[in-house]
Amino acid sequence: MTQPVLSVRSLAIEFTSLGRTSRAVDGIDLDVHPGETVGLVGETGCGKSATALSILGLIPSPPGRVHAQTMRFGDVELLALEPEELRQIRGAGISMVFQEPMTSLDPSFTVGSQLAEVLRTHRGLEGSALRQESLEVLARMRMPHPERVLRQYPFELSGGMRQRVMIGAAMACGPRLLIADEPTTALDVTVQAQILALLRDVQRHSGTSVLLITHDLGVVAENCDRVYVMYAGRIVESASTRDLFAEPLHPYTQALLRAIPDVSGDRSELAVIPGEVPSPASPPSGCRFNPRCARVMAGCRQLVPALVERRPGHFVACHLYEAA
Amino acid sequence: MSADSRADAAGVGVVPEADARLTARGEWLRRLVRNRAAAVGLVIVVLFVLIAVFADVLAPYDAGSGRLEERLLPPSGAHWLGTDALGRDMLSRLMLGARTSLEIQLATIGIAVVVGTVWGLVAGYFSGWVDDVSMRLIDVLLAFPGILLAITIVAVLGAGFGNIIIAIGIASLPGLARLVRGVVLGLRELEYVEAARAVGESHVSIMYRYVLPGTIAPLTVATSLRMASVLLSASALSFLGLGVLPPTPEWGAMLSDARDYMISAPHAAAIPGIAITVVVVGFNLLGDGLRDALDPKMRT
Amino acid sequence: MSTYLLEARSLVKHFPVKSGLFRSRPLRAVDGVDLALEPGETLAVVGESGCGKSTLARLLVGLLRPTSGDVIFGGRSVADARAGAARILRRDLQIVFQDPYGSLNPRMTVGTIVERPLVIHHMGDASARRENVAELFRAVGLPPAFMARYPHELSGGQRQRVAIARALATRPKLVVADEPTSGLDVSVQAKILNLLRSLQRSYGLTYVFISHDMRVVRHMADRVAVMYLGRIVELTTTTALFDAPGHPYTRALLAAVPQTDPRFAGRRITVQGDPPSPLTPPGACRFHPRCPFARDICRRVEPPLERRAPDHEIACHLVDEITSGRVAADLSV
Repeated sequence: MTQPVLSVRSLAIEFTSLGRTSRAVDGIDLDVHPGETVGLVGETGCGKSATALSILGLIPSPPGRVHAQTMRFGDVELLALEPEELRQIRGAGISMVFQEPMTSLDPSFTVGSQLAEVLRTHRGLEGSALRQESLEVLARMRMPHPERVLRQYPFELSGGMRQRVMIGAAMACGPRLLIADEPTTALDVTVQAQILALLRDVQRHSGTSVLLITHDLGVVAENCDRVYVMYAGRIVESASTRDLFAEPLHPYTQALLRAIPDVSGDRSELAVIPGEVPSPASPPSGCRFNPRCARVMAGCRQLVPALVERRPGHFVACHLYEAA
Repeated sequence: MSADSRADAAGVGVVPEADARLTARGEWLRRLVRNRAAAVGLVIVVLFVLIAVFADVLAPYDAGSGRLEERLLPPSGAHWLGTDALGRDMLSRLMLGARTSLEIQLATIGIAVVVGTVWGLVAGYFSGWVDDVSMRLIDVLLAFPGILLAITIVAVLGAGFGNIIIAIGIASLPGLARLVRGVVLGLRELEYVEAARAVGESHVSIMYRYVLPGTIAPLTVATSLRMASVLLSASALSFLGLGVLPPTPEWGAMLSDARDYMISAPHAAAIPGIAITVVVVGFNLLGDGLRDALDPKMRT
Repeated sequence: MSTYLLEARSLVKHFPVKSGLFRSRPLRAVDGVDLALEPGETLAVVGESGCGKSTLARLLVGLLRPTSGDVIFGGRSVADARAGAARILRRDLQIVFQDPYGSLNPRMTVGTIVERPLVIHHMGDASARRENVAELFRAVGLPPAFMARYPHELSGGQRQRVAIARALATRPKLVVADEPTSGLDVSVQAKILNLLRSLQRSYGLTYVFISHDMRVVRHMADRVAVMYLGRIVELTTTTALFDAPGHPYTRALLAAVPQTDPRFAGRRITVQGDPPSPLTPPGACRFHPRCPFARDICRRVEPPLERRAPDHEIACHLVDEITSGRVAADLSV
């Protein structure tokens, strides 16, 4: 078994505000292997974005605190790095693409100058080599009229084009891991399809591993090799994509799949998950899904279920599967 | 009065959802009090107001009468702050001067806020030619340095309590109107305003119930900062002899009266001067504190 | 003559956009739309950014005045209605907005928000109104105790329920829902969609459902209008749209939907490029620059929206050729 590109154990993230502490992420384990696309899926407030930010050390430290047993990128323990060393890794070893490219691109500088900054900092290119490479980055992103785009400002580009620039910049330095946090949520559906197809191709050609964060199970089904399902700061299920959709084990996963309107045309009422996602400041005791679970049992409120392998390669945190 | 444009710009932040979280249950007040500087400002302002309101009860002597034998006495047991050039008790004059100043401030701000808000609200909400004409008028008024405008108006109307209120009020108006208009322009585009139209609300109702509440936070900040500048302006006008008529006690006038005695009896000038400074600083601290307390993006 | 609840006739809305010191160009948000709504049905309008569906929504309820064309409700023109008549229309034509965080006045309690329409239209005295509001809250699944809360004290799903209650306050005949679940999680979305469906039955509502999500459209709509750059390119029943889509853009939209069911996965047709800006629409067929099937005629002549089958209108020169396979897609992606 080859060494994972990213290996996270017992990650916990707390936020303290106005005297109250809430655990946005409550002890999760995560692995990303070379060349694979891993999906991290969950609804608002489940902690998936916080997880992604913490890998790159982007959680602001006064209100937030990150603990983990280990957070290894290849051989490097990320938590033990000095800020300067972490900065070296960002953009070169691990890159990140965000949901809203308008806010991650500086509106006062042209696309060309922002791309140049990335290439200069991490690959030391200058002059004509720099320009040539910038054009090639855009061409690899299937950007029409790359010379024109280099001269344009972010606001002159459409959402899809900005996201291509972001992905291009993120991939420009050949990172081993690309973290994409809801990269297509803000885009139109046809553009989303293009960008996801682009990501798949880029990933195939470069062998980069991708950690794809999303709330859309459909996106996961079509783009990921493996999936982690998060709920209220914990991982409740993880499996290969095929296994997860063929046989979802956790009641939350099952309910989530049933809540998606079906394109096949079944017009009956959508199955609904009663209740609301708990606030991280006051989560339920035991299994956090227990107040809303259709198959809740006696022990669910007392005991936190462990994430255990119940089928080959298929892990689930649920008391239902405990051997009698 | 260029401090005013800073004051006016200070309060502009249109984030209604987030600042409703602050205004709805008085959270802003708690944040204000936690801020040391703002708390100091608040204390100064409260003291100022209390002294002004209860001046005639608190003042040990009659502020208008003085005995010439007792002129320019330094602070002593009988006169805690000494006496002025006409033998009048400085402490009493200071207290009653506070009242005068407060009255001027309230009246002036009252006019400026009411007229300025309505003007800015109407201009910003309706846009079009109403806005264009209003803004040109405001631009004309703003082209004059505030104090100069006030002096001109007083020159035309004559000095006196009522007239300086009008003068300073008119000079303060345009800045507030422009501030309100700017905020309204942003608020007008918000979806809940559109939703109000969809439900059938009339324009007046929308301006009053949906748009106006969003202007209160920036207005409060601007008003507090303006109280300081109004005090300064009133003092300046009185100092120049264009303001409050004697014998009404007023800090600027007291400063002017003490001009000739700066060396022989420095307390006569220092005391009103310090009072003006302290109160102006107090209002500024309070205003800045209010701005921070009402700003949803600030972490406290 | 008309059995239709609402009709749109040659509806056009242009917004002037400044381009240069003295000139302005028109932003053709809606550029010639005809629709007819039957009472009780749900018509979905789908499209991506810039297609004009939100502008169309506002034109239908009278929030915007058309540049030309008209909207007819109950035999009378919505566009020409003034003052008193316009206010009465507000009772029957209501809208639920997309953003549950932005469409509620943050300084009013949610009870007051829902009560305002009743006050404006003089529907009952104070206590009758309170009772009415409580009933509306219960109808949308919120406890009446919530009436005293402020919007920021509620979750996104709860706020959207308040917005729905507000729209229903005057017992309207038509409700336009402008992407009502776009900002919500899947599980919350499911509840809101179920709610909308049951309310339609109990209040006898007709819906115009604006969306970009084909999965939601399939679930909710009886008929679908596909919009592209201000015009309708396909108009038919939901079943026909999903089983036999005619217009290449419709096919692309359907192919782009991420599927969880492996039976439906697999790329068919994708489109190139981004949705164009309504400031500079392409000439002739508006879709031709992105269409994998485009031929010469598409670049020269704008195809009209025509009936190609019973209850199925399509605006495309090449529909028959594409369906029969005589013309193939140029998939140089």
